[in-house]
This record gives sequence, C-alpha cells and structure tokens, in this order.
Amino acid sequence: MCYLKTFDPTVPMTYFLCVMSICVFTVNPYLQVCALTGGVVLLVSIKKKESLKLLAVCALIMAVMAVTNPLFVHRGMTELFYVGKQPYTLEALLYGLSLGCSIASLLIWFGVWSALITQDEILAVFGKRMPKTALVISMILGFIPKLHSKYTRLLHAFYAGGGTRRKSLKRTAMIFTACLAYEAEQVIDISLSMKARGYGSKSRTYSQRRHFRKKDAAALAFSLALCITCYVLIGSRRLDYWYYPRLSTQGFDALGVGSYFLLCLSPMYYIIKEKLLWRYCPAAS
Amino acid sequence: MKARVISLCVFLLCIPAVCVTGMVFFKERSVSFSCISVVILMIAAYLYIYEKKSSPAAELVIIALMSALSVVGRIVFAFLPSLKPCSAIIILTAIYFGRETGFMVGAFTALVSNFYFGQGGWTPFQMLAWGLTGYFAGMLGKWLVKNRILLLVYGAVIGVFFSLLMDLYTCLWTDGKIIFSRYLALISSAAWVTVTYAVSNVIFLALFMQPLGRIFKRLRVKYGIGTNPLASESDTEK
Repeated sequence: MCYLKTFDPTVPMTYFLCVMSICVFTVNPYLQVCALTGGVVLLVSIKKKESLKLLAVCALIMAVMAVTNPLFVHRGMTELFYVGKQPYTLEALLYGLSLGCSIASLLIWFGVWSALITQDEILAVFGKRMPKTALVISMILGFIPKLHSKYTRLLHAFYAGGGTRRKSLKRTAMIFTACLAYEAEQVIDISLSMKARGYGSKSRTYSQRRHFRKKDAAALAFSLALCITCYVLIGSRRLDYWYYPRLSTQGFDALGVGSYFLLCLSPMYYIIKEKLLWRYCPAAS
Repeated sequence: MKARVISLCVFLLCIPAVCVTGMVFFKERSVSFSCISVVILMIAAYLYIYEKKSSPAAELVIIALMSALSVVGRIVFAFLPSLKPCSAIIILTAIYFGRETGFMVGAFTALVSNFYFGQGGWTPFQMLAWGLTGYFAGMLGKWLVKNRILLLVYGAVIGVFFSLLMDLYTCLWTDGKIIFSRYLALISSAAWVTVTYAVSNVIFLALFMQPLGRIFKRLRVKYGIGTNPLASESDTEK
C-alpha cells in the first residue's frame, strides 16, 4: 500500500489540478520540462513496468507533433529547408515539441492520477456537493457489469436454443435489446423500492475511508502555496516565453521554475521516505 | 429559482472571468484555456441546475440504465471495428424521455465510458457533444418519432457534428488557437472516422428504432414513466 494513498482524496485532487492547470497551458519550456520530469519520475516509481507503454506513446506523440508542426506553421526566422514553397523553420519545430510536451505531460499526469485516486473517492468528494450526479454515476458503474453478465447469459441461452454461433450485427442487436427489455423492468423495480424507502426525503450519506487530518492540511497548504507562487509569477510576466519570430532569451525565473519543480516532485518525498523507512527502520514504520 | 440565478451567474460572470484570466495568464494558449474552461463551466452549470431540480427516482434510474447500456454497447459491439451504438441509444432515449434526460444520458455516457477507455482533456468536449446530441434529439422528438427517414438523417448529421466538434478540440489543444489549415487537415485526416460515426448512427438507429420504441412504450404504459413524443406539450404524460 502506497503511503500517498492514505491522504484525503481532496488533497491529491487539488494537487493534480495545480500541476496540470499550469503544465497544460504554459508555453514556457522550463516549466514544461519540470512537469514532464516530475510526471515521468512519479509514474515510473508508482507504476513501475506498467508505465512503459504510456511513456512510449508519449514519446511518439512528441516526435510526431514536433515534425509535423512546421508543415502547418511557417513563422520563425531560422529556416532549415523548404517543403514545396513553404519554409520549414526551427522555431516551429521547437514549438511543436513544446505542444507535444504539454500533451504528453497531461497524459502522464492523468496516469499518475488514476494510480492514486479511485472512482469511489472521486464520488465521495463530489457526493457531498452533487449527491444526484454521484448517485447516478455509482448506479451506472453498478449496472455495467450487471448488464454485461445478463448479455452473456442471454447469449448462452441463445446458443442452447440452437442459435448460430457466428457473430453478426443482427444477432448481437437482438440479444442486446432483449437484455434492455429485461433490465429496464428490473431497474424500475429498483426505483420503486428507492421510493418506498424514502428516496429524496433526506440527504444521502457516503462512507469515507480517508479523513482529513493534519498531514493533509500541511500537504494541501504546501502545494497551494507553490502553485500560487507560480501563478503570481506567470501573471507578472516573469515566466513569459515566445518562439516566434525568434526563440526568446528570457523566461527563466529561478523562483518560478524552482517552485514548480518542487511542486511536481513533492510526492517523491513521501515515496522516498517510505522506501527508506521500510529498508532501514522496520520498527518505526 | 436559486438554481436559475446561480446558473445565470455562471454564464454572465464566470465565463467572461475565465476568458479574461486565460488572456492574462496564458497569452499564447489563451484560446484553448478559455474554450476548455467554458465547456467545463457549461456542463457544471447544467449539472447544477439538474442537481437542484427535484426529479423522481425512476428518472435517475433510467438515466443510469441507458448510460450503462451505451457503455456496454460499446463493449458488446466491439467486434465490429469503429461502429459504436452510443449515439443511437442516446438519441432514442432522448426522444422517449425528453431532452433533459437525453442530455444527462449523453454526458454520463461520455464520462463513464472514459473511466474504461481513458480519461483526459477530451472528456468535457465529449460530454458536451453527446449531451447536445441528446438534447437536440429530445427537442425534435415529435418529428423524429413520426418520420423514420428524418431520424436517420438526424443520426448522420449529428455524427458529423460530433466528429467536427472533437476535431475542433484537437485543433484547440494542439495550437492554442484555430489555425484553419490545420483544422482542415485534421478534418480530412479524420474523414474516415466522421464517416464511420455517421454510418454507425444510421445503422444502429435503424436496428434499434423499433425494439427500443416498443420497450419504452411499454414502460410508459405499465409504469407511467417517460413522455409520449407524439402527444402535444400540454397533455404530456408524467
């Protein structure tokens, strides 16, 4: 069990929002490199070998974006060569790389997100504010396996009755609609029993495995402080960067880049601490 | 009433505020930031209004069932490459249960199917696209249920609309603004996908039109759930 999973779900959700809201929309390459490094390090240390496929896809996206962007955008002073009559510029190539980088880091951070937060926890967070939406989503997640197993049973019944085993659109559609006809009435029964047990008369409650404690508050304050620092510096134009017509020479602000780097890598603190405790100090953990 | 006021605030205050924030903070990518935030806010406002409205348990259960069904449909029909029954199911539900239910089924289908197929920045756009598919179908329900050809044409048109909206998302995401040549390139490279959307909508609407209509009609007669698309607004059965 990863120590990071013991936080109240609002903490990692806020953290991911902080990281992703910056890495997706900035064009500053220093911030993008921070986000990408942080995401890759976290993903690899949490998911180990499972992360390799996603990383390969991300590398491919970055390469494709970098190579194809100059075909659509012809701005920039440094012309590398000509494609037809249009120049293929270094600036557009690097801008493409930066675009690819922001898409790749988004995918990687979503990968980290799914490793740390489960659907139930998302529901528990939103369940207080939006009970109806959360209720519907949890019902959907319950119905999907139920419908699928009903479909399989109907299919077996169809085989037993001497039906064809060849997959066809018509056959699948027939069993699929039979499945709906069966489940629809069952589901209405569910709604009737909800009504009978007083649905809508009182607010719903959710069981929550994690609770908001001091360490949650500390981690939340830490990530919010770093995020706000970054936003202030972005707003004051200290982290502006541009690619056209020439690559900008400014855009590196030690405080801004440093705090974003710290923000991206801060979960590593807990991962490393856990590893060290496990290794050297079994009694304390 | 309160919900109305809050949603009005979202549209009149939050959306412009978000656009301005995008321009101030993210100069180069301001368009993509603003568009994505606006899409998210629109869905949030819609969900909020829905949240505050009192709706019977049966309606919630039907929304959940139909969304689950279109996700399962995506799995069950996976043996046919790139043919997905989701839009057809959303359209038919919207016709027989009204535009709000249609919107919710569309939005939840996108959200929940992405739990299985990968969540990402495209989720809000997909939610909006499928939500609107249902909403418009619910609005046009009276005519769509009467005229079979019209229903199929609607399916094809909405499939193209869905694909164009998703291309717009890709375009915004990659460039931060709309470069028309890139948009055209994306549309033409995704032309095959657009065609499959339109074709699969037509095929599945033709297949499901009668059985689903029969099931929904039975639910209406037996339990009094759903609206009669053929009845006029005044004497809608509730």
